[in-house]
Amino acid sequence: MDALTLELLNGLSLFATLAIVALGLGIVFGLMGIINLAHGEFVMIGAYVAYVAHAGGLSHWLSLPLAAVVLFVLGACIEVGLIRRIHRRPEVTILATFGLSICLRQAVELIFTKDFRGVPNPVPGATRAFGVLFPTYRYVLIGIAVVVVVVTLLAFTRSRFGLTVRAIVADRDLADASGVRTGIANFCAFGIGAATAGIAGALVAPLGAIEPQAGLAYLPGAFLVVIVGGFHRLWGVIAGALVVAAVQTGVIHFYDAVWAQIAALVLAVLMLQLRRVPVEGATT
Amino acid sequence: MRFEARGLHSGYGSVPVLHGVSFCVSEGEIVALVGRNGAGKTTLVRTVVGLLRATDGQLRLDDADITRMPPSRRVRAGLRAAFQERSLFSQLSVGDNLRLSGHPVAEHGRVLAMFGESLAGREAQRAGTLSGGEQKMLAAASALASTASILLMDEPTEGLQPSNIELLGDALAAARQEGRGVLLVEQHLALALRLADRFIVLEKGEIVDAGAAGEAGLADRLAGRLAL
Amino acid sequence: MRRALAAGAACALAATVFSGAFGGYRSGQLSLFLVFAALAVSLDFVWGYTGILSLGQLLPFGIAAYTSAKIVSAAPSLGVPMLVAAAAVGAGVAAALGVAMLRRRPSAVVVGLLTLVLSLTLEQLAEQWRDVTGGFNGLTGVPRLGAFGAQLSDAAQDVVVSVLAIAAITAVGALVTRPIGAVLIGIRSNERRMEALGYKTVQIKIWAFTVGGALAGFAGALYVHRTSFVSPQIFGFSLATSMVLWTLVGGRGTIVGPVIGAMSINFASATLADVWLQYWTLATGLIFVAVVVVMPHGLVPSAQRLAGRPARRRQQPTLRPAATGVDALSGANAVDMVGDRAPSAAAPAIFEAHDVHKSFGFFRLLGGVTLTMESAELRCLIGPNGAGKSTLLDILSGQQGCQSGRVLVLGTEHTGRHAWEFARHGVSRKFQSPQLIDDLSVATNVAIAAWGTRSSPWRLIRRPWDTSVPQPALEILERTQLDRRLDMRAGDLSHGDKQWLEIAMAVAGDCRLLLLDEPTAGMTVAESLEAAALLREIHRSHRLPIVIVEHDMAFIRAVADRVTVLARGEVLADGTVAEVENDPDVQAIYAGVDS
Repeated sequence: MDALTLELLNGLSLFATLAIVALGLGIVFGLMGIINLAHGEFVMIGAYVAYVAHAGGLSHWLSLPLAAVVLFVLGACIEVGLIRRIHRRPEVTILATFGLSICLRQAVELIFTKDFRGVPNPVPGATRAFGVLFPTYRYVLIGIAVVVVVVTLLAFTRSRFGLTVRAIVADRDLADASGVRTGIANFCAFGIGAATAGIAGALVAPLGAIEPQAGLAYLPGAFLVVIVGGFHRLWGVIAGALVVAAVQTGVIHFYDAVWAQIAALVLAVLMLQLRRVPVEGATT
Repeated sequence: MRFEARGLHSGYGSVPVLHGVSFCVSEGEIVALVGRNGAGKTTLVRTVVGLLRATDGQLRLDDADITRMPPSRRVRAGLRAAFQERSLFSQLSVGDNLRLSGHPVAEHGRVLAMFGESLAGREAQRAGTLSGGEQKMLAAASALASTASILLMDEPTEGLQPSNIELLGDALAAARQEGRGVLLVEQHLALALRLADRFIVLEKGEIVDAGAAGEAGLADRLAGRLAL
Repeated sequence: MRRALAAGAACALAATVFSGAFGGYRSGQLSLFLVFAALAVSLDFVWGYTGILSLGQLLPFGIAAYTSAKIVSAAPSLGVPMLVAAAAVGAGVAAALGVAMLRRRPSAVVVGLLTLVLSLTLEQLAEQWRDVTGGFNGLTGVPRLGAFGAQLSDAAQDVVVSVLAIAAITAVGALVTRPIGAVLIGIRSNERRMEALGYKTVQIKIWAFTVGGALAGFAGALYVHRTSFVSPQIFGFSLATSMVLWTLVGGRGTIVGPVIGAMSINFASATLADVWLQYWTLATGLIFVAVVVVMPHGLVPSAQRLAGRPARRRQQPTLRPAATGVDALSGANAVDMVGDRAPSAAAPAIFEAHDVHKSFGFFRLLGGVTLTMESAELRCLIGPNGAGKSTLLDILSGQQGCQSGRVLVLGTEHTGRHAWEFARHGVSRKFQSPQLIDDLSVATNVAIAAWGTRSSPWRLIRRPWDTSVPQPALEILERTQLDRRLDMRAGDLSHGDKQWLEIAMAVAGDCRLLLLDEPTAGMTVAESLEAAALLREIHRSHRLPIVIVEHDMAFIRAVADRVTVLARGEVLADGTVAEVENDPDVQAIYAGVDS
């Protein structure tokens, strides 16, 4: 019984991490049709922000909003400098962000070297609840991640900005012709996507080593979430994270993390078989 | 405000549709643009709004050249269209559609009342679940209730029942009274003959005929242009 | 083909001389980079030619490398036969992946992501599965190439690996000069058009993915011998990015480009990395982004353009008339019989659509359309916007299925079949906006259309470039003077010429029913009357049944035997032009004065 509870908590923790990492990916793809292969690097930079904040004597909790701000600015700059020039060509954006990910990793390596950095756990120890001991910080992580994801999704569904965004997703041409400033909406969406990645990075910083390659570890999981959850609904991120987390936790229990990822991959391929996609005509 | 198109060329991808179209819409007049299917009417509307790029020619609002402006800036400059198809965000509610068109929530009642009772109080309904005619009315009402000084109405009567066509005609006449210019794109002549001050006929992407209201034999001439 | 083989032989010779002259270190570098070039070429074949963005081209490469390492370590004498087996392993991996992934026509984005994620997952698997893969450090001490108990020396192996890599690249280079190369480009740039010509595009894509996998697998085996070890990084992000970078920088769809890309970037890395390692990696990232944004075609095509030379001329097909003009239209002959005699119960109708329903969400496109053509006539389909005209053509050519109802073509049930099955049964289609293979020449477009209905990948490798084309297609080319511009790039034609080229393509296959969607769109009044005359003539002299969707009444009067009017997804009227014109319902719909 306790073992099951522990697995459930592990699963929940995995779900929360996957959801918050995949959130920005889903926003950027859903709204702009862009696959951002540098998203993992945004998470990694978020973790470095937490490290710098810690080195500068700031509280870990302050590093979360700080990471959001830093990455919003970085994301917005990238949108203006790069993404805007190649917009609406999905294959090209994949390639460009592929290259961008190398640049970001290497730039971080030049500044911080390859050495592993760390941030101390702000709430060490474990909490006994539901009859099991579970690290306190993981409870905190689950809580904050869920709040960030839900608040972001609510913002996209309830606010005026969210309405604009949904209008663009539904029919970009009509939105343009209704007077919606789609350019600014793109700018904000890419920035917000990066900001949520930054929060995710700062949030997981105390749990593992911070190094330039760290972002790569998040990429497969986050993409599986987006593929499984579907590309065009923001809430699909939650559904996808839930499914992937459930499958992975289940498989980890019996085998290990790699087989868990393979299981999730098989699931994604199966999902692909269920969809019917029309034949593409001339590419423009 | 006066809208003018000079030698407009446009098309989809490599397919040219408009071959040098020139016309103008001045303050307080209704210009009817008629033509058969495939004549290029919708292409013209999409080019004027900015969803298609003009490959040649010029678009002007008063003294301003708007040929290269993005669509949203043209809207703010005072140009607004109600499209023939896909005129609403069908997944969003009626109220959200109005908000996106720039109508504050307080005004929704007034906009929806423009066509009598049929739309009143339906803010919360999803726009896609309205009937075809109701969707056309909502799009027309949203454009008419805006502050735009040049209105493009692409086949607004399609799918409307006769009593609502009457109401639409009254609303268009009222817009003219207020000094706004209207380009009424129509395939059906009845409303256009009743309302318009001037007529232009589009065929194969060129203007092949023009006339003013009250010209002798105009109705027959236009009907001849449109008949099979 | 000969040129490709000659170039390959010259390169092999040059590599041997280079190894002899510089020896040791340089020779080793050369062989390793040539292996990478082979990997890049396999990506180019799959992505640059066929359009499958496979960021996981490392899967067949790495799996073949591990397999070779395992087997050769156990039995060193199996080195040479294992090279062949590695190609088979690579092909098998790619085939399985292709079947699992490509059948549902995923977008390039999904394929790219899925293959990349798969590759990264395999990296983790290889790290964990220590018993088999040796874990993080991988398998080391793989013996050099050998067979029959003898083993090559280091120096000799470098030369052999170089020559074998060049040979493999040359083989692929020669392959794409065959007709299959043009067909792959066709599928990359316009899959819908190719399927409407009768190509089983999904099957061909899986085939190409498999061939690319075989090359990657072969390169993987060479790699493992050359470096004598293999580790999980072979599936990693870093090599995946490099592989794409080489291909991208050199130029996709050129074979030569990725080789140049791989060689130059690797030699530059090797030289510069000693001096400033970290900045060099950053620079590669920046080069990557810059190439994508500024020079998306890559070095080789851009250099050709700068030099003012048109893109390297591909082999051009020669078009010659089919043995006897009408015979080539074998089906039209059968139809001819029907046309000349009174329709009998034995002769099938050209097409029959029975009670066809089609809706899209809430929107009803077709609400029970029944339409047949008994004998070879020229039928026009008219109606207001949204009447369902193009949808009906889509259903008659298999582009779309219908929710209920039946479709028969020349007496054969075709309900629910694929577009290529319709095409192979003689249904040809011109789309509303021209759908050509823009990157290929006029002649190649026509030739591809002529091959479409009887083609498989293997046959397309062996088939000759000169092609017999049915008389009507040649007539169209001649009348529109396209026959004087056969080597011009199709994408550079004027709009009107594109329309005609597409019509010529439609009749270049086994055409027994021609469906034209707005053939005069974008033409002037005078041009559309000329078009009417030419279509009329082709219809009459070859007894070819034609269905045309049109708006232009002057054109319709000039061309139609019979007119069907669709409105709101239903047949409103049907008859001669005069009958339809005088129909009060039709007048009401069109002029709208009385409605």
